[in-house]
Amino acid sequence: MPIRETNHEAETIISASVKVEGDFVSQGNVLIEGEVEGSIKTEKDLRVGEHARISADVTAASATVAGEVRGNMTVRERLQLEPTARVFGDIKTKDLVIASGAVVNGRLVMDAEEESTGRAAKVVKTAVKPAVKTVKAEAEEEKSEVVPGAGEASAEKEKEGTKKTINAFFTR
Amino acid sequence: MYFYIYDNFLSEKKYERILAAVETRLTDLGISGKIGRLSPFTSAKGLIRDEAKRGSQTVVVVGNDETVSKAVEGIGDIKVTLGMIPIGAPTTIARALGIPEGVEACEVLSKRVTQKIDLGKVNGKFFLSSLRIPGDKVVIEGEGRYRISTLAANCEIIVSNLRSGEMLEDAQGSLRKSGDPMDGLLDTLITNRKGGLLGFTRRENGGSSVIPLRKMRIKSESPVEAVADGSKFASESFDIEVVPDCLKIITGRERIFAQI
Repeated sequence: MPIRETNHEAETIISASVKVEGDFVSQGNVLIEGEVEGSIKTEKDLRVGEHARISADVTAASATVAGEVRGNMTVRERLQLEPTARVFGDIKTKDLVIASGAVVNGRLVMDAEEESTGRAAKVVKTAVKPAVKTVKAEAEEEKSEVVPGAGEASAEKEKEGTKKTINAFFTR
Repeated sequence: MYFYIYDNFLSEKKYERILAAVETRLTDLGISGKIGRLSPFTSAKGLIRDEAKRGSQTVVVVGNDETVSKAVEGIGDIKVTLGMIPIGAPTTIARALGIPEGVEACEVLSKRVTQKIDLGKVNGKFFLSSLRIPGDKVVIEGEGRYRISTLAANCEIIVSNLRSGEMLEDAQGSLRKSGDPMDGLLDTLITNRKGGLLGFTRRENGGSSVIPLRKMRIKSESPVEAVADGSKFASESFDIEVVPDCLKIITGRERIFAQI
């Protein structure tokens, strides 16, 4: 019987003697010691070595930076900036660790804020929903109130109509 | 039904005794079969195709890495199981598959533990273990999305499906991880080589890159000599891809992948 195991985790290493240009996508952990231009996307951990130079937008699950990154960084979990790290671009992450000496030039957006605004939005929605319900309910109530009223009005109209025909008969 | 392919070099007198011992053991185990011999006028591909048509379901390569390369080149798209009895040198592929040399390999054959593995394909030719290309002035186009260029001179590119023992001995740190021929990826290893004494080359410590890819094109300014599983050919453009679950192969317990 053939035995198949697929636990192998793809490991990418871009050493100092290599330059990558274009949209680099990986499913596994990525270690960069060389040059990258374009964009980097990984489903797992990204490590940027001290002598690495990256001119690319970066997307990763978690990242540790000790080198230079020129581009926007989107890190789903934790971003760790080592003392030698230099980031020139916006950072969006959930958990950020900046060591003394690290340089960051760009906007910083923490996911926690987005979450809180997201929650607030949900709260508003839940508050709005019953209000909408009550408006509908009132409208239905109005409708149900209006129906008997409309019946009375039509009876009155009928009465007025018969009165008019009687008056016309007597005038003749 | 078993079909055994003997390499041409096994006709040398020094292999007579080991071949006789292997044949006796195969008869004892009840797995003897028809024998085909490679020669400058007989290709492995032709032999395997003819025998597959006659009903052979298992092809056993008797020889070294180059013999395996010749067989894999021809076996790639034929539905047969591949076994091997390593005799001669080098036998790094057999070692990576956990198959001992000589008569002991017969026991592994008779146990018939099979794995379905990926094969690499370069310019339409199949390879099992690795493809080596000198990396000077070479550009790699990965998955059609990005370009990898080597900044240092004296580089070597090794596209590896099954990372063999030799590569594991040379590799540093995380590169020691065994290449898995069942992951649907080819590991592209870019190493720096330094000139050594007496014209020998040696690898620099560290500084190697590993990039797992499914498909790539390697381009060179001038034709370069590549080596796929020990057999040489020259080209200036190499279209390489992985063919997943392509080959059913008999392996030993000491294989470097899919261990229990």
